[in-house]
Amino acid sequence: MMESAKVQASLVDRILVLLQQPIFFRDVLAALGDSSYRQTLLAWSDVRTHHALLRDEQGRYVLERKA
Amino acid sequence: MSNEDFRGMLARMETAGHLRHVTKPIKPQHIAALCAKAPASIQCDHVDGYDMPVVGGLYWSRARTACALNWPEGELGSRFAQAVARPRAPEIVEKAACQEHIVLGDDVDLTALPIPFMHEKDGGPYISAGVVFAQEPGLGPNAGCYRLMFRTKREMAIDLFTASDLRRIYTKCFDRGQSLPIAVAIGIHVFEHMAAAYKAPAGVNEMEIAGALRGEPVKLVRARTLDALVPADAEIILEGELLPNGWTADEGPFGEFAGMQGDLKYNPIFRVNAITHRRNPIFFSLQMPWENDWLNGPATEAICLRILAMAGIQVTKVRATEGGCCGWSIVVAIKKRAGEGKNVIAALLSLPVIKQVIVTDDDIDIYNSSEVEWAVTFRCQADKDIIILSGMKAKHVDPSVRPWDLKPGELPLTSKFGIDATIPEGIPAFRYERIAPAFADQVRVEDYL
Repeated sequence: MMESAKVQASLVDRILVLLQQPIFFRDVLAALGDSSYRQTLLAWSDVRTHHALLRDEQGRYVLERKA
Repeated sequence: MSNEDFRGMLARMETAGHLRHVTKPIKPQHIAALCAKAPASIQCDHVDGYDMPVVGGLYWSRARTACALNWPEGELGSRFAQAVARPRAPEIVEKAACQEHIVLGDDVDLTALPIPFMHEKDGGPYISAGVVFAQEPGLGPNAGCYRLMFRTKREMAIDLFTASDLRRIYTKCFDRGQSLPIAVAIGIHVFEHMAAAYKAPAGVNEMEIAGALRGEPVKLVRARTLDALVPADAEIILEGELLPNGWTADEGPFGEFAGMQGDLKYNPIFRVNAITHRRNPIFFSLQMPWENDWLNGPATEAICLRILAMAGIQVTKVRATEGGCCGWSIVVAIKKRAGEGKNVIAALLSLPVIKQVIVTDDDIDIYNSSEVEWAVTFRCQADKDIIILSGMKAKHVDPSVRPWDLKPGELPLTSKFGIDATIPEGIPAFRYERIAPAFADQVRVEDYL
């Protein structure tokens, strides 16, 4: 696996953990502050492509739980 | 100003002191906060992780907007009104700077653009300065301003929640199960941007109005992958399609034009199939709310001037105030004949957005809030000169109309008011004679300070 792909996969995993609770997008950026902005957006793109996200009334994201 | 492009406008604003370069590295998610705090608009030359500068805050105030337009601050409305009356056809060119670099298909990656995350509760990074260009069968080209939220490398959610030309065009495609090809321009001159923000009647080509604002034809080029004409000197063009998914993709919240954090909405998806751009493009991030509001301010003032001319009022100045988001609160100075203070209020409160109006005589400097307050204090009797109209058409964006209490499909209603702060009938003008310092014509500040 290429190094950049490994980094991105790791970021995706970290975002998925964050999404167990309702969070704003701001919280994703804050939690992944040690990564570059672009890497975070690429990981977010992966999350949105491969996982269903729900939104609550405030607009917070949360991972849809599989039945 | 012949054929001035976005970069030419930036250079002119920098010379005038309205644009400053930020040479220190900055994170994309910090740009909005810096724009809000900076004393001038800014161009961030070193955005972390990107080799593309980001500019923002260009139209944050009347002064900056006037500078961008290269018009006097007091003539924004009248000059806009003149332009709307004399549209000018665009010129179609074959070769354009906006297509110096082209990225197609699977190579498209929106994360290559420094799309900033702007407000604490936004749903994601936003393209806030996107101007959408589309073709409407039978009516021709259409341009308008729409926000786009980053979703994936090739997809954005576009806000088509409220009524607009693009929503109407898209709805026809959606009903047929078809996608709608559109192009999104980022980083275009204020003339084109302001014309696109103007709510022109259906069938009116906004770029003809832009040509009138410019005083010369706007140069347009055909997009590379779809049937739409786009500004030839735009910094960046996104080409793609609004998918026929309807109003199903989560979009927002976003910091809205009224200065409040908006709600989560469900909207269509814009799939990007190509990105074209200039060499060394500059990304424009339009800052909410004032920059959005000032793009509409001159048009609001122009409409007021037109309505009041039809009512036979002699208007000397109209001011769409910033606190009223350049559309909801209007101050007007007039050469009054008996009763016309109230006529102005009646005329302007009939416009859909305007919620409050203050009318003064023409001796008041309506750009000076203290002068306006002085007129309200001493020329107004509340029981006679404050007009309140109830049960009028309202906007959902105003929380004071409690839109959340409405039944589905029910439209909000509002009350509006106007203050007639002109000298009341029957009081002679000398009662308002202002203090005049003695020998003012003989005293020059520079002789003493």
